[in-house]
Amino acid sequence: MSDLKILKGRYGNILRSVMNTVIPRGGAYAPGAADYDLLPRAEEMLMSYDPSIRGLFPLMLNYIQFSALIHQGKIFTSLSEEKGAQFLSSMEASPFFYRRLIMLMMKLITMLAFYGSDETERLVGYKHGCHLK
Amino acid sequence: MIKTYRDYTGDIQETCDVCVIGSGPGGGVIAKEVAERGFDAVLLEEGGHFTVNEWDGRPFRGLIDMYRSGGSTGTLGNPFISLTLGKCIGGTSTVNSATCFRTPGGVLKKWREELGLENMTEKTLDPYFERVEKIVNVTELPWDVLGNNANIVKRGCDKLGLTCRPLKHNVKDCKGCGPCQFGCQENAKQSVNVTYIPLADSYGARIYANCRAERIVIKNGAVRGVEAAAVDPKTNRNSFRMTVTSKIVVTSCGAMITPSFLKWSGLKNRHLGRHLQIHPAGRVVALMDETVEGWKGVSQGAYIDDFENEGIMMEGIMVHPSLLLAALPGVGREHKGMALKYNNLAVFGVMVHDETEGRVLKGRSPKRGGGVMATYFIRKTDSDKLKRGIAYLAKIFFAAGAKRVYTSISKMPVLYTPEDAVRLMKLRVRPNQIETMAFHPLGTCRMAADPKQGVVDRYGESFEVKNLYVADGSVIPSSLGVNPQITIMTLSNYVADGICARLGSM
Repeated sequence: MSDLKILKGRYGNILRSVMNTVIPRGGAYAPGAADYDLLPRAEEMLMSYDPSIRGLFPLMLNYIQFSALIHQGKIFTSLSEEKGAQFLSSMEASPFFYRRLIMLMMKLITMLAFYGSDETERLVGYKHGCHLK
Repeated sequence: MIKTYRDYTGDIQETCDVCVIGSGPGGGVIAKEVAERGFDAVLLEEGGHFTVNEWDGRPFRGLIDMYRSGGSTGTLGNPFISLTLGKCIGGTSTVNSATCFRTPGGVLKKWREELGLENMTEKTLDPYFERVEKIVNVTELPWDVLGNNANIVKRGCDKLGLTCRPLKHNVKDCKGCGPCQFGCQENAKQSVNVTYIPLADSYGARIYANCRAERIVIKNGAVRGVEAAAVDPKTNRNSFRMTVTSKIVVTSCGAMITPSFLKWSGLKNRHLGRHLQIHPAGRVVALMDETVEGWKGVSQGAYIDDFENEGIMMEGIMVHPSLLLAALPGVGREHKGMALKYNNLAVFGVMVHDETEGRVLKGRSPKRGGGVMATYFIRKTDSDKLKRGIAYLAKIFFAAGAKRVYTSISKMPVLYTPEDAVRLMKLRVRPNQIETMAFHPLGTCRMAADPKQGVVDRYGESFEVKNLYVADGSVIPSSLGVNPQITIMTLSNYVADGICARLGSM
């Protein structure tokens, strides 16, 4: 965890909270993002991005954290799972393109980090490797 | 032997006839062709060299290792359009869907009429197409290998009186394992990294992966060589110096990088970086009652060209759960409910034969790691084509029995009935209400007969600098309306002939 450069401290907390909201524990299948240490994987993904996009990522996290204050009355990391999901769903359905884009990026990083092992792929019925073997 | 970063122990000096920059469908072909005819070739590739034993076929690792900037590249405009590019030996051919089309006759005609490219005829190019198609083994696969995703769309098309055809692929013994876009798991895809590059190697070309060209050395209006640096793949930073002295330089870095690189090398042609066309694309996902398991089969199996007259092309595309689920609506428990239906999802894409022209800007210096900087403000006519294509596809999916259809249009993200598809067709949609992707950048160093119209002449040589050639998607003068890899390879083979003729006369 100490190796994190972009996702250290509060940025890591915000992203972790976003990931836990996007893929919570329970529901259709038991495991959620909180059951895995996804931040190092997210960091590795971010480090491969162009520096200009990488540099924008903390701003995107801040945007989520503080726009929740305006829309839900609390910063994002203080929202309940239900309120957090409501807020992120509203971002996803926003008429503003860049608000939707931020949400898409958060989901993409979360999904890439989460659905990247045999164990999590199996949860959705996908089997990695050539299915003919 | 292909050298990679771990083979570099200090600065490198090379002297050769031809220095090729980029190992994709352009550079790979040039290196093989010139080496085969006995000329001394050096090939530089910025990305790494991966083989079937090294890639794991998952998007997470594949994007980091084999794509430029982890797949985060795109064009700025209305909206931002994601445009993914390969960065490894074999270039984008290593990570594409292996779809093969020849250049449409109508497009060649347009090039002849508008840009004076009299040599761009079927008669001239057919022998080159045949040669390329033989080497990469272009073939048509049976429907059972194409998988359920293609079969469902075919069923919908049959009901509506449309035609869904199997795509041709550059594959050998393909059994339809699935994820072509992160390295073929069976080495069945005959991409440049398994065809042209090994051939170039066998003919004596010296191939350097993890090596970033920084600038072309130009003296008295002619090339003298290339300055480059080895790139540490862990940090993406330049390390050991590399100096190549060569009679001819060929840039094959792709339509998003070549113009920027040439600008940093001092070229000033006014068309450099302009005329960017990208085939803007959208996706349509259908929720079916039946089990689809679309990942069991070729990821891009079939196509529909009934709407070609409207500038719309449709092609299948099935992807890994991490990519598909991120693109579908739903957060939290709603997402998990959707994720459980992954095996009931069918996916097809819409691609537009665009009229819009964007621009590749100079961007960051290659000495500082380079990067893509481009603008593309999609015209209403093109975004309308995209909307119509999405609505047509929704109709096809409903005809095939879809329960719900998910579009990439934020104003109408979910359709429940065929009537919704009709409503979508009539809906006024702004370009930034469509989540748009692109995979085929073209035209930024376009070929033309007249220096006032393009960057390179009809043989691929720069109008501005002698013995500097371009061979990649950037020389293709306009949008094709079909996947471009075979066109790029064919034109590169044609350019290679010109290079060999020039070398013979030197």
